[in-house]
Amino acid sequence: MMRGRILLAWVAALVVAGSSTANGGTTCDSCDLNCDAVHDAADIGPFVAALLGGGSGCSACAGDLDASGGVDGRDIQGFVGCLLAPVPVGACCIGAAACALSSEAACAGLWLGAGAVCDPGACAFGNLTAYRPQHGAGYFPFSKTAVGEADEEDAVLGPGIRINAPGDVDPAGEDDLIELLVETTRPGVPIALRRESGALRVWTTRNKAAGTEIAFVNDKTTALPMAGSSLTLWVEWGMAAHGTAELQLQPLAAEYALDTLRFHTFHHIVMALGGESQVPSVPVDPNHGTFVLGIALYQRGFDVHMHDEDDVTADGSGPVYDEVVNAVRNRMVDEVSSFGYSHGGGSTHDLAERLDNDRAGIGVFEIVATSYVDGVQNDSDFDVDQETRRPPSTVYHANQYQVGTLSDFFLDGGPVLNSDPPPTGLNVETTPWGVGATHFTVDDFVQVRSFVETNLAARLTP
Amino acid sequence: MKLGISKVFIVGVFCVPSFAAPAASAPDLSPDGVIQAAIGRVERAANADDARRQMDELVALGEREPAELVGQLVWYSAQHQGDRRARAIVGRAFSRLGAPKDVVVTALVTHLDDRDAAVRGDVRELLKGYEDRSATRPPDFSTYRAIIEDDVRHGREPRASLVELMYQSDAGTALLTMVRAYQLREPGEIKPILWAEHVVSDLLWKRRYGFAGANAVDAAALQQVELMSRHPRWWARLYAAEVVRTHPELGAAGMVDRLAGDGNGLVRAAGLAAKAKQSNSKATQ
Repeated sequence: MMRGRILLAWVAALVVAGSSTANGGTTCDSCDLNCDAVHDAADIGPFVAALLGGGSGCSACAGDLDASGGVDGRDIQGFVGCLLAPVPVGACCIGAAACALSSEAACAGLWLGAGAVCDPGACAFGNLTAYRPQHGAGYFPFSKTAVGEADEEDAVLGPGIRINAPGDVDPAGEDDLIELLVETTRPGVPIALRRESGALRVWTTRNKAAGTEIAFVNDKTTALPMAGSSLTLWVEWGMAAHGTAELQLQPLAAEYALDTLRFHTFHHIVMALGGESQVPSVPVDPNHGTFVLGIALYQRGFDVHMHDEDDVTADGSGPVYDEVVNAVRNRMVDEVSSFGYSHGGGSTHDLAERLDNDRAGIGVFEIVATSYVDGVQNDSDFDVDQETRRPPSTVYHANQYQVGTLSDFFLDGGPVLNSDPPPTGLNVETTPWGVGATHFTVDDFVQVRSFVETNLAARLTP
Repeated sequence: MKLGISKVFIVGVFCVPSFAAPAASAPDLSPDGVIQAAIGRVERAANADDARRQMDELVALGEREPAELVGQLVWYSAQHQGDRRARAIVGRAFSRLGAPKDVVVTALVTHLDDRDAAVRGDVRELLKGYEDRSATRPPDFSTYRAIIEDDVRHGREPRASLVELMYQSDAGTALLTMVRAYQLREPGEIKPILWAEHVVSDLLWKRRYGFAGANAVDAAALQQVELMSRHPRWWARLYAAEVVRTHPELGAAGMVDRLAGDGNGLVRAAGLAAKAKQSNSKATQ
């Protein structure tokens, strides 16, 4: 015991001015005898104990400064030198929520720098935000909508993306890429993206301008070209196959996720057709129930396209038909849904009729779900005939209507065979909430919209 | 068999004197006090029974002169743009008219050239409803054919706005309608037109039903469009211009330039539209 105390005093005396930090030099730190990530006087006792054979050491290399395989007198000088040589210590991140103080060399993750401390959130300094799909040159007729933070990795509510295989037609310019915002609170720390699948391609321009694709090597990028604390990128699903894939934001120097998005390809397309004189707008007119519903579905992650009902002609052709055909032919969409109010109901019928008629030239798809709200045939703007024909070949059809009165000059939809609620749909005026509904108000009832939203959403593959 | 335009036929066509007068137009619409008052009573009906009674009385006003009622309904509609209830009243009145379809359509057509753009727009919209088209049926231009045929028989130029409406609606059906309306008698003149329409329609049919690519082009169709673009009949050239306007890939640049400078106003307008469409199409490729 006496011998130990002498040794302890001797070693301590060699340490000028008490203690300082020191660097073990390897990921197993031989100088850190108590494994507290710091080289200081607290290591002296355990070193002496190891020297005397009285301690087993906190790590395999503890005290073995000369890497001889054991602790002996030849390690003393090295240990003293280690304690005397000042080596900086800082926060070491090995996960977004896993931080420990260490020297840079001892850090197996991302070392944040000398003096950096492990504040809460110190290692979670990056964020990814994905947005819902674009339409044409921007987002109209939707507002730019971010995927909720809680939904980012959800296979249903997370970011949906259109397959953008070669041949896809974008009449208004490339719009199948998903906008991605990259943010960091540590602009000086290089960050990168890691992808789960080569189907995910990333661009710095929305139109995939030549030379703007970000390269991946072994599915990880080099340091992202951050402009300060943020960067906007565009994500493409460039493979002609459905799937899901994660995209992670990572420190360039470490393999942990600062944030993760799970992309899933759209199997479906949803067409929302307003009533006569109703055109999509931003902000939405609250009295345009079809578009209020379309936006609700869009925000939930469905690939919704909203149109003036005149975009479907009486023979079913027009921009809506073209969009669906393009989706089936070129984006591997195999589920189609359409809903409409008033003449939009008539157009829903006409669209389904043409799609069903033209299947041989379009490809394999199912009209999974359709809906009329007070559907009126749409051979012209002046057509007042009830739309009571079920959309041809639809798997599921919801039908809600009211009975016309003087106030709407007897405009109304009517019963449609084999509709939900069975057998012919719902006359909303038979419900407590729908009493007094008119053709001009029936689409605005939250109960009407919810019925359509719930039933369409339940039948579509995300 | 080689189908083309015979020299004999071309000489014959150019020897036909040009029409002296255009088709008669109705005067620009103006309100008729009696009928507008009747429409107003429908609009202000006190209850459902009253509305039905007033509608019966309104429709009865058209029993002797349906064309007059048709015009007044259009005028009322034009004064109430964006008013969905007013449109419903007009729509309901049209659906209640006892006059045959051809009478109503003929009455509407006379207002295609009204000075008021709202009138013209509503007339075109109402006519669409009478074309009775669907995904499985081509438009019914039978009344249009009768109107144009009557003009031709009386030596009048057909109403340009009607011809334009027809071609923009369905160029192929319009072309065949014109063949009949113009009373062509020589098989040698009829066959090349029929053949051109058939070849182009066949390509479009193949595209629609997956027997050809979505934008597939074949030499036979290109040749027939080219032939029609040089046809002495302006309405055959109009067909070529409309085909290229809707399918830019079916027209060579030289042909579109020629159509854009055509002596006939309708052909020229369609040719210019086709040229613009082709330019846009190339710009986006």
